Amino acid sequence: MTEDFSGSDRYDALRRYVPLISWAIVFLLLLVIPLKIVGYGYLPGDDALRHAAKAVGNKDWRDILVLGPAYHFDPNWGWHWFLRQFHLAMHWDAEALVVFAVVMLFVVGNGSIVACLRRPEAWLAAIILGSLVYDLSSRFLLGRPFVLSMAVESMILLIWHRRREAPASWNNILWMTPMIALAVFLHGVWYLWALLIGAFFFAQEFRWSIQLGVSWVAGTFLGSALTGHPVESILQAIQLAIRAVGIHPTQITIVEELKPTGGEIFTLILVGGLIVLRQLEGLKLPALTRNPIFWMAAIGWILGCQTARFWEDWGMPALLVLMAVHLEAWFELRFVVDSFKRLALVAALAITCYAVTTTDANSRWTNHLGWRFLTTDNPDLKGWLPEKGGVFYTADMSLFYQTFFKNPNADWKYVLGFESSLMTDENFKVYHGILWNFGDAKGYLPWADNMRPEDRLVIRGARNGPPNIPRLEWNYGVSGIWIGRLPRPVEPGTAAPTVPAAAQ
Amino acid sequence: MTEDIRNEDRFDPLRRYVPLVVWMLAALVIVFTALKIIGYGYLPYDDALIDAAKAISGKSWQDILVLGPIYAIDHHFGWHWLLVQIHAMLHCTTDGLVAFEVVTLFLVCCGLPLVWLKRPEAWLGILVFFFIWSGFLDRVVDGRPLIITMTALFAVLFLWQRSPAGPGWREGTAIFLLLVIAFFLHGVWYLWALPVAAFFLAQQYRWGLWLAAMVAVAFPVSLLMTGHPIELVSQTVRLALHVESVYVMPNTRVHEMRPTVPQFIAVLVLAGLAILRRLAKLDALPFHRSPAFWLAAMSWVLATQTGRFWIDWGLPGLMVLAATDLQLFLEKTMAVDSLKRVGLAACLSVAVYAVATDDFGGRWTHNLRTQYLTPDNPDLQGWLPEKDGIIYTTDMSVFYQTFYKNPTADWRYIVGFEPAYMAPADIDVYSKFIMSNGDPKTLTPWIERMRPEDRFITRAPRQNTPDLPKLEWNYGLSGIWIGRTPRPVAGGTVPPTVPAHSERSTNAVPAAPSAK
Repeated sequence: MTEDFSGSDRYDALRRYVPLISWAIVFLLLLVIPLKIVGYGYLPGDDALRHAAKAVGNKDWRDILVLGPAYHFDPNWGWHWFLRQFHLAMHWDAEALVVFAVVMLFVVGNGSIVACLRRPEAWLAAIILGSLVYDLSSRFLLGRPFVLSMAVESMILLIWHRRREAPASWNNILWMTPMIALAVFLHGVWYLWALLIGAFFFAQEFRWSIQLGVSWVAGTFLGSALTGHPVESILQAIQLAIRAVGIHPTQITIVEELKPTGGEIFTLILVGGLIVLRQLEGLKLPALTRNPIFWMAAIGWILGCQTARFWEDWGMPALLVLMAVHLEAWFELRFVVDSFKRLALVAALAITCYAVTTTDANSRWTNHLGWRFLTTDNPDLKGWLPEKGGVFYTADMSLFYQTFFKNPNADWKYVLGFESSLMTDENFKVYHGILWNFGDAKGYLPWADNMRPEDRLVIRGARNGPPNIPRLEWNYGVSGIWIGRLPRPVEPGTAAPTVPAAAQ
Repeated sequence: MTEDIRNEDRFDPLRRYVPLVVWMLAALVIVFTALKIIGYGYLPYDDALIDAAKAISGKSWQDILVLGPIYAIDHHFGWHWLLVQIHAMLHCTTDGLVAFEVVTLFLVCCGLPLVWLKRPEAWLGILVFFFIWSGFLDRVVDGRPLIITMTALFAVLFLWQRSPAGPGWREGTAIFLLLVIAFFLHGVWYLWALPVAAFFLAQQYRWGLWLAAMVAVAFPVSLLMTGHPIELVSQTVRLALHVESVYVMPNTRVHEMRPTVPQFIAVLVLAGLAILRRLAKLDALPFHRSPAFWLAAMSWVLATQTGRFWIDWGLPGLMVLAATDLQLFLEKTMAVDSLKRVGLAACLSVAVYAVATDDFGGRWTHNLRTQYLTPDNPDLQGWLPEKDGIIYTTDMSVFYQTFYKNPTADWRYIVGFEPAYMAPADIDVYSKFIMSNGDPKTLTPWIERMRPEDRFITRAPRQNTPDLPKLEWNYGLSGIWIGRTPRPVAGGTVPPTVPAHSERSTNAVPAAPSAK
């Protein structure tokens, strides 16, 4: 073990505080990072917005979306219930709820992982590498409950790592079951825990694999039971997953996070780097082929070649854990636990981690400040938002997220929501045709044909020309958004209800 | 050699099958990968399409393209001859021929190296790694005869690894035949100077001399097989001299001939190999004695002038270098009949399949959305070129796609697969258009030359009518505008063109495929 004895006798009394200070720095950093990013005015781009709006509006999805036969039950019931309690207790609006979700999930997700490490700085180093290679911080700050599943997965892997040399105790079921139940309750996707069981199985950790399997079954039923609809929620999760992927004949029209990753070359490079580190430093860690953390990363990487979320939600966290346990072993070899050098290392890693995660590169934390929302209090939009009982037609999910976020209590419905597989078959056919034909205006015609006076068709486009659907009248509602409606009868002597786009 | 003998006694009788199983896994995954990719409905975007169409058309390039004086004889005579024979035997369509090109060449290039390796799983590992980052996968599914040249290069380098002292008669015969086939089907015999130089730089003089001699003999043999030896050499030399004057600026070249920034990951690969050699104490020849290393290094540098040097010559060199190092490592860590080999080969097979068939960015399905100009489309009636007409375009993809779907059409194309083959006046117009970032004014000489039977075709969105008002325009298909010289309108009849902004029956949105 390397030690730093040189000339530090007079500071020896302070050494006992090094571990405490290290922990304090790391936990403080985990709090400061999301606060800084939220301080930019950051809002996530997708589900966090609709979760918050759902909690505020407290309407059933059937009253928010035009839904097809695949929908039976809120797939995020637990998370919406959780946010709703905060809304009721704190009277927070949708924006405050989003901020809360972003900060809380980052702190809880990372904090729970760090708590499983002997050297918390190892996680900082892993976050730095992950952020540089994968834009990891954006994923952790999406404010979506999958962060909890990532945290539970990482904790199980880290606890295995701690206890790997002891015989697997059946007591493991006692702590794994509630953790999985919590993840299933708040996040859903209970079936993906089979991946973790597979990872333990491939690593020949058969007892752990069986125990995890028991915990999975028990946790799934427990988490589902908490929703009040144990059977429906379990069945619907499977049905939705099959439909979400199977309904698209090719990957071209599928949502980004379900598209394939193309393989992550830096994953192979990082794993290669870890192997070199093990060899050069002689780290006493289990062989990769006997390590479920490695197998979880490998399974996620392979399946990510079909659907990115396998990698992003399951493989990448495991790779980070793999890096963290290697770095932890290395730090333990190189830095004594109460060494001042260790303190310097923690400080350096904390500064780097802060810089890497909070940098507003490519405006990732501020780009939404340029968003223009469609809101009922905008006088320019008077008469151009859907009327009572109307339908908001669009082929752009971001318009649903943003408009629902700003209008959680509005009395219209959206034809496209957070998952195209929930649409009716007819609407999905139109939506798919639009995407397939590169957004060609003619693809919208079936919707335009069905529109009623209270409905609106909303399409993103530049000011220089309305969408080529002249059977509707168009208004350039807010920057970059055109709103179309059925033409209104113009009374003699009154101005036309629409203003030419070219007019100032 | 490390052996895994513990607790496996009861499986001992199975050990003899390990090499066979590994071979089968490796071969099967390569076959299934090729079939899966073509099963998506994948089509390459360039030469494979026109090679197939050329074979079916039965016409010379002079009847297909408006060519300059430099072009005398089909530069891919051998490849087109082969496709003609296959077409005659199987009566397949252009689609069938392209599928044949893609699958066969993929199998040959990715499968044949298995023959020369003692550990086929090493090749699978290399394929996984290089498929992800290097562009090798995109190249090897191109369906172009250059893949034959790459395969011959793999053969030479792998056979050198097996017999560094010098080739025996079996290796010699195999290489000679591969060289003759490569020269006959693909040409570019002169670039074999690169591997010859690599052998000399690696101080492998015996192999260098031997390869040079093989090239020197195989070249005339392949020329004689074309039936036009003198014309072909003369054309190649004249073209080489001509090209420099044609390509005033690199950005007027086709993409693959433009300069590129050398791939940094290639340096990381070399560093990784150096670390592997050191940590695993591999008994490998030093880099500077390896022709594979020198070929990779030379091509990496030459890619700064022309990207193809790296992708066609350097990558194969680096892959051979990595594969042989990995094979050494596997030989050192796993016995030939170790059951672990099966596990490793299975994992790598899954990885190869997953990485290669991953439809990342729609790379295997993007072409399903391509709309083609075909005479059987009623919306295009009167808007395709007439008999003996010319398609004017500055977009090579218009040529590739339209010729592919209309191999026997009786019109010609102003721009084909290589701008250097165009007539001098046309090169001038084309170059000015590219250099001016697509200024329509540069096309005036073509517009003024256009006859009623000719058409001008350009890509632009529906709302952007091309800024060439001397022509009348139709938004033929999504993203494609067709221009022709204005037709006289008889009194009382409907104008032949319809405003682009109106809803009309032309350019109907094609139905998207539905999930099976």
